[in-house]
Amino acid sequence: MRFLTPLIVVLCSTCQLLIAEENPVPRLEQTMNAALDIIFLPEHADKSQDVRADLVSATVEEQFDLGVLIRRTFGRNWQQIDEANQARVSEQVKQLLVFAFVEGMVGKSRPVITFGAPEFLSSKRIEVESKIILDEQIYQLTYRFGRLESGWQIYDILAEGISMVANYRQQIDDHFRNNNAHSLMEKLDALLND
Amino acid sequence: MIKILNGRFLRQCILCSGAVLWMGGGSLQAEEFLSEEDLFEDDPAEVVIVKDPIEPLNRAIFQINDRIYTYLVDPVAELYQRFTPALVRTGILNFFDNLKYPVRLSGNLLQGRFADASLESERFLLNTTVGLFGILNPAETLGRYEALSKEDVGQALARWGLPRGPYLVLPIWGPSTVRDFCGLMGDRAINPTQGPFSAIDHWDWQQQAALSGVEVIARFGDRYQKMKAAQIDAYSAFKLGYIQYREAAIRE
Repeated sequence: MRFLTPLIVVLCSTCQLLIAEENPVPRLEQTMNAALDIIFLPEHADKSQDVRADLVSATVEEQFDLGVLIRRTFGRNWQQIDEANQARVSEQVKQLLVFAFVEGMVGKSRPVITFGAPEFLSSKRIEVESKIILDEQIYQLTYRFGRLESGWQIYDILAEGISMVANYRQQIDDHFRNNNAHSLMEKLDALLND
Repeated sequence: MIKILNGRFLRQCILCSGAVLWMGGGSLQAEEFLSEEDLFEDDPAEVVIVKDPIEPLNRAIFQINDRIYTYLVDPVAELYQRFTPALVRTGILNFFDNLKYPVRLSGNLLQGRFADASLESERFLLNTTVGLFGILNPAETLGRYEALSKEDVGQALARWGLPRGPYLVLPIWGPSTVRDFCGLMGDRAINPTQGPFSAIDHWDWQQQAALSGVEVIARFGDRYQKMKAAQIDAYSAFKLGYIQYREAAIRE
């Protein structure tokens, strides 16, 4: 019985943190650092870009549900994809986004990222400003988090005021005006194989 | 039995109950989470409607521009990057950026942002004198000018209530709107390096413009190619990206 007391305390503390995490910034900061480690640390230098993208993807997904972000890029068009293909399209878009992130860092020096304090937009939504210094240029990146049962999840990212979700949604809307889900999957395959 | 109740077991039970109550206090009710509808339905605040009545023509110009950037401008910029030291390139970029002071000043004055206009003037004076005609950027080291955004005539027109108008893709220049095109003409009239329209100087603008252009493309061309590679429909992506970027700049 003696071991039970500390065990209960530790378990309950962990649950308490998970249930009522009020500030996802430390988790975001830790995830970004881990992702940048994969891209910039010498121990990963011999890995191909694809492998590094897979590692980054796994690292991010350990902490955040990218499915929320991806599903939002489809908006109402999600219903135009049959259930059997929704997982495939979601995976393709995830790969495209992660690969673009890794590719964007190639040949650059490791960026310095600073995160601001979370600003509550409502009790269920917060916004976190970040400043990225990459190759002497300063960029503003804003993360928008929503409170879900699984904790705070990223539901949009704004780069210099440009919403990633709105931007991809516009592209997908334009695609579905004249094309179907099948041609979208083909297009995504082609982009990933390029 | 009494021994049990009096002993360690009772303490464990009290601790467990306390812990459960503690957890309950921190937990949230279902209505305090975002619903599927909140998350995945179209939010009117996020929808940006862009008028694009000449989309076929715009798409054609976008394709031509893309080929010019990829096959003509990028290789020149790459050569320039390879043979010009980074320090020199930064100096060139700083020099031309400093010369755009009249554009930023007018943008601020036309919007009634007098405090920012004054700060812009301070920065220009500092960079022109201490910074050796703008080649160096000593103002950058002072936090005082960090919040200054780059204003232009297009932003002033938006502040005056002029509607955005249809989306345009200009040859070579790229994304714009009717309002921004008018603003661009205003900017060129007060930019000393951008002849032949410049009203404030008549120096050897062709070489200056070419050098400034190559420097800008050398710095941002790589980013353009990388951004393009991750898009499902690059035309749509750049269209909405441009509109959102400008709206954010106007709101600032």
